[in-house]
Amino acid sequence: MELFTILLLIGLVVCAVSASLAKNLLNTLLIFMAFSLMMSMIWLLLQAPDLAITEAAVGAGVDTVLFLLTLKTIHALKGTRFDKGHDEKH
Amino acid sequence: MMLARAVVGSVLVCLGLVVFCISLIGVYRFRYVLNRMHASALCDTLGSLLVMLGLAILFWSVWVTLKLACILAFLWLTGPVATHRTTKVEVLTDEYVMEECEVE
Amino acid sequence: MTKNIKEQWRQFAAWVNGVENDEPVVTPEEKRAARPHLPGFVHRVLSEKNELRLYHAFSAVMCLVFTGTLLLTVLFLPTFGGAGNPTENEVMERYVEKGIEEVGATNLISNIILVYRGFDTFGESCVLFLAATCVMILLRKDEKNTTAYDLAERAEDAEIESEENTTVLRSVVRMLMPVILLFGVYVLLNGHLSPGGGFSGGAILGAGLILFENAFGLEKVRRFMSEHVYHIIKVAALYFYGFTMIYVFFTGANDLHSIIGTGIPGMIFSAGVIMPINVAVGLEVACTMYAFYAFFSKGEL
Repeated sequence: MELFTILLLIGLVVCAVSASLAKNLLNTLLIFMAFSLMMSMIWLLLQAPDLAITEAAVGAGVDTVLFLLTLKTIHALKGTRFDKGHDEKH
Repeated sequence: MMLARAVVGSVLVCLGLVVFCISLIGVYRFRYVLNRMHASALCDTLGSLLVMLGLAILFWSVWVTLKLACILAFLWLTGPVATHRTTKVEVLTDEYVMEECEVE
Repeated sequence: MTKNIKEQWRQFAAWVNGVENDEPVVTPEEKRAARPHLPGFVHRVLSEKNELRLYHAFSAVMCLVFTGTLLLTVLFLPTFGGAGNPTENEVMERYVEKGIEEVGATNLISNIILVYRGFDTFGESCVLFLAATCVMILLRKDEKNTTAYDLAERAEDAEIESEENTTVLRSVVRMLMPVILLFGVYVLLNGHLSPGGGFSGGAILGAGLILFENAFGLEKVRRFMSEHVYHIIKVAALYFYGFTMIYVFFTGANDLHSIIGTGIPGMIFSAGVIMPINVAVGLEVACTMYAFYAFFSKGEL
């Protein structure tokens, strides 16, 4: 279990660093979701199930949806019809 | 009996992990989105089935088995639907999808 | 001379890249106009590229300074779990030993955050309410701030959504929806007995509502969750929470007899105010989550 915790912590650090280094905002978002999932597992291992439920529901679920909608609203999703660069109308 | 249960359960969990590894390799190795979705859908269904089956045999208790069955039902209901929706979006938005899907 | 060669090279590169109308030549005056936030002498010292580099270097230095300060602070923290730490005092022992007897919830966390530290949690809920209200103000789309472009985009969205065949999603959501809502309600109502509580249960309910909206569209959700209902639930839940907390604070501070008993620990109707407060907080959180989603994606509820 000790080894598992250490692996999760290493994954957490890797996710945090790569989320800030990723060029594409969508990639940042997906990495952040993975970060939240790992964080919720760590909360469970630290015997804080209350926080684990909240982190899994909010961090991985609702936050990701809201961030995706924000990217859509500010036209930052590359390669879709919501991309500002591809848009002639605006 | 105990030993046989432990062996069968561990083997099933390990098989599940092997399936997860195969689908992970597939996601990295394949080039096109639909192939990648195919690879990732594998671990949603077969991998989770093997892992849950192994865990149920390892624990050998009615309530644990019921809980695992509930989790498996949830995963089997949601995973394929998520795969289907993602793939549908790709098919709808990609203009050159027919070229990629051409069978030689 | 060098400028001329540079210019020719730029035109050649543009021709190779297939750019027909190459970019207009930018004079220094125009450059200055493009960077109005800088005083005049900076333009002589700093080119545009160097300015960007300066920003990068400065942000890196700021990051290092902040990180160093925080790490230095960590050095002076007391060791984890040490006997002489300020956290090892009688307050924690009291919470653990007398919590169930005094408040009546077997989940010590909800004892602490809703009763012992109820004042802090109430402030947090007010902050959440305020944040939700601000988001509503910012994201609401009506006749005054909707451009023709927004309308066209929304019409395109609606057309794509109506063309989509969502039979698979709908039938699965129809199966899963009761289970998700039941689990959310369970987490809400069992907040004082098992892990969970207002915020977690509310988040699960809100996520379920978002899933429902995705499958069936805004019109179906409006049948039970219109903007009117949302306002009623939001304000009523906060009022209920506020008045309950006022009563608890008043009786507790003046050492009066409270009509809210603790009940038998472990039963569903126990722990006094915790379960009603959990329900109020959960409803508010669920509605806020769904409203955030609706306002972000459609601009209306």
